[in-house]
Amino acid sequence: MANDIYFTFDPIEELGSDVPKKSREQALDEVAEYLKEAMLDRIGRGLSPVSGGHWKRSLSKEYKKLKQEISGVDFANLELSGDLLDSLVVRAGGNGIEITVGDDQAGKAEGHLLGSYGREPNEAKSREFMPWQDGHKFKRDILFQIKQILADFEEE
Amino acid sequence: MAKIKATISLKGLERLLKKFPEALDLKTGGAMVDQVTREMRSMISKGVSPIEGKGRFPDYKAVAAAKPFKEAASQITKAIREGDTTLHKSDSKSYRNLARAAEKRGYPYNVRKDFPDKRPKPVNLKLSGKFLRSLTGKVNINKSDARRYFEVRIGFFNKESVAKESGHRYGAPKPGDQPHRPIIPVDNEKLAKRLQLIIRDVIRKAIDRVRNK
Repeated sequence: MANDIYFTFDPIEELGSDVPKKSREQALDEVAEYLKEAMLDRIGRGLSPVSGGHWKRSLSKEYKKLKQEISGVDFANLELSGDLLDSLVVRAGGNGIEITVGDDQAGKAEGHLLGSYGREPNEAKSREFMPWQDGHKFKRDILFQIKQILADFEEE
Repeated sequence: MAKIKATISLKGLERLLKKFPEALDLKTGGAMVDQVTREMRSMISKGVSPIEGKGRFPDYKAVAAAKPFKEAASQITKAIREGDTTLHKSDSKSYRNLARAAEKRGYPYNVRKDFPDKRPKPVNLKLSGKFLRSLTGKVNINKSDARRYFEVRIGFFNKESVAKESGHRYGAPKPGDQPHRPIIPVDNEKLAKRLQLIIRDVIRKAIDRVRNK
């Protein structure tokens, strides 16, 4: 584990899928690929991919102005320089799917997840762009699609 | 012609498609074109490639060139705030000026006069919007038993857009001028997983429609 921003879950186990051991690696690779696309899509729309996840959509007046100038949007989608999203890693690992960010982006990621931004954590200001606590789950529509992907690997 | 030729797993649907081949009709093809092109545009608008495994498009060259200067400026400002007396505000300003100079020289800053809405982020391949609007599809069906086929082609069918797509894939106009940002899968490349799932969903719904007739 390179930094503290790290979440792992086993979709095969959690969704009760019957993927045989021999297909596990490939199935997880495909889920990881889909999951990254789905996360980037949600984040890009200013929505959390986490079930019940908080997302402070509005921006301060000053930041909004800067953001409009750089990216043409006036809501929070974690894209100013784009470095955090560029560094998002979703991959298959020994325990299932691993989600993390680049080491140099860990501070920024923590700020978003805790709503701290260099100050005290404040849930109301958080943007939960990835699951990060035990028990966190992805939105139901995302889990539904993961189930579809895994179904391809189940033996008839 | 830039068009998508991609293999998609239809496991679980193959048997049903053999039983209900009429599910693959013009309506199904039209739904595929509509939904896939809409989702491709949506992904590209967020700076995400519609090709599996490609992830986010790389930064515009001028933006990437300016980034290290911006980072250096931020680090100097932070160090001053934390009490470093060996640095001065002007050091940070110098780096910001270097960043500005790097940006001014290249795309998309150099087209802002004609396209004031063009922003450095996200990398969404949109200038006038004409290119992405021309992403479309065609459906070909032959229903005769001897040569039954169902073909949906999605891509760019006009000369100008084909050239632009090729430019995004191979780099244009000079090699190395901009990083490559392919959007149509070729050879062994596949459509993004989200798009594959959309196609499967369209087929599943078409089978249900025929089945429940």
